[in-house]
Amino acid sequence: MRNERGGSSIPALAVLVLLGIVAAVGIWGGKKHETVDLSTLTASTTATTIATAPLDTQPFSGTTGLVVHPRAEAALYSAPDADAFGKIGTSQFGPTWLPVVEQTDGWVRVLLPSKPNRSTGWLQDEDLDRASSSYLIRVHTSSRTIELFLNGKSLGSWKAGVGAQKTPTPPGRTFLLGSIIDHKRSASPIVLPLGAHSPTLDTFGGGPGTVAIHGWPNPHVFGAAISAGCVRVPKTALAHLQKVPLGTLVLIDSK
Amino acid sequence: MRRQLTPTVLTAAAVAGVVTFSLVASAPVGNAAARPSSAYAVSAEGQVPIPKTPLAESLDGKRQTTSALELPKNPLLSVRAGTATAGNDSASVELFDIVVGPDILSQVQIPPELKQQCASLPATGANDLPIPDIALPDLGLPLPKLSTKDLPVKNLPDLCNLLLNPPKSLLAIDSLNVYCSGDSGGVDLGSVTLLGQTLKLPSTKQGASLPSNPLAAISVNSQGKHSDGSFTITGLSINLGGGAEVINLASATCAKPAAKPKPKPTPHPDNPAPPQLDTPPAAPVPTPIKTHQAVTG
Repeated sequence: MRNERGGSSIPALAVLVLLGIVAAVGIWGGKKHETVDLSTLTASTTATTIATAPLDTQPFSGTTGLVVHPRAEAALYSAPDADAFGKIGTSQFGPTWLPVVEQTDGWVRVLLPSKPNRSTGWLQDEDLDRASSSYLIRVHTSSRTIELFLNGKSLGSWKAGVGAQKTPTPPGRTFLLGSIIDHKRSASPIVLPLGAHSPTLDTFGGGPGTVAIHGWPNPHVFGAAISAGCVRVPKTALAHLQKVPLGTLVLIDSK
Repeated sequence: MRRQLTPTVLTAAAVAGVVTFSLVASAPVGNAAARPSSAYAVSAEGQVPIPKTPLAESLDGKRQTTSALELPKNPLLSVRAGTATAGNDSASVELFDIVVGPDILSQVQIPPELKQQCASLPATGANDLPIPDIALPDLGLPLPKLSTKDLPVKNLPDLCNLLLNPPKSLLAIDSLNVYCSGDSGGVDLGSVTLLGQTLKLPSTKQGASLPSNPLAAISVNSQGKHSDGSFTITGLSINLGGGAEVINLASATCAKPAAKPKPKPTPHPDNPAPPQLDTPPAAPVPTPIKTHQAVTG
């Protein structure tokens, strides 16, 4: 009997040990990222540069429209299960909404607002609010036009002022980072900062060279390559663009 | 008799209906122009003819764009890049680095007597020396016989400088943009260099012309309305040698499409819409925040 009991307890013990190992691996594996010390990481904002951020590999592609908002400050990783290189806060200008450009199990890759242009980072797919933007903004720097699409259908196309030859509007995909009213700009206070920066101006007007969509009092600029990188649009275009959710993809090409 | 009459009447009515429908269907649409919206970068008539290149035409109002600016091999004209776009009652052209007569002056053999005069310019008073009237060799361009007096120089040292240090081109324009929308349009002209000297542009308003010179008559922003309601604007017309060669640069024609394109039920593949199944909630409309952020302007 004893022999029988002892014989039967050995496999049971082995199973328990195995379960214990699996549990330990799970706990430690899971804790790997939970234990990241966020205070040591640089926050990705329009004012910061994180040179180690992986760059967007498909800068002219569309996305599914998925946008995410971190409910708490979160670490940014260079790849799923790889090292953290920065962090993202819950708000930039209003709540932070970032477009998802790639997904794997438990992870999403997002575009970032920090320099250099086309920076991306991976976020763990937890503590994220998910939403879908049905909009798409396209900026064409050669034809100097801006187009707005809703569910793939054009809502309008307008002539826009784009970056001059020496201060171009950077090509690639970026996103609507914020919607602000800046009363220091009395003539055109509505400004929609993007996640991109001037490729030629490190600073501009005391800021980090953030590229934005905004209005302009003189209509002659629409259709001209004239700005320091920003996209100047007519009033009617701006009224439509103000309704576009944050995180919405902005595709800038040289067409 | 009565039995046969009914089908006959019905057949006649059907035939009449078909004929009427055919006539109505084939009638031209009310305000559609006979010509489509179109745009082209370059065309030339005369000794060196160049067809409209590249030509964008929109027959149905859908936007058509071309940047295929491959000019036939010629000694007269080169353009680095250009885009022509035509759409629904709108059209535009953008050109960069237009050169007329590239490297042509470096091939000019300076007449020996002029070379001698240039080599022995007096230290003082050279500016008062008259420009000698010496025939220039054939430049290989559609220009009349030119003499040194036809060149845009003020005095002998200027002439010597021009011939000994020849500019890279007869005429160079760094950018030219033309657009139209409906029956109005505009021209945006960059810097214009004639024989190495930057020209002062008086205006790019309709019917303007560049300062007169014997080499080329250049008119800016020529506009015309056609009887079919379409509208054409041409950025620059360069007339060489009193009509021996006329080059049109950046021309846009705006016209209403013959028929409106039917809306497509499926979204454009280039503008992907989010998937319809299993989508998260719609992203919120942003609330503008009152703050200051310096942006690139």
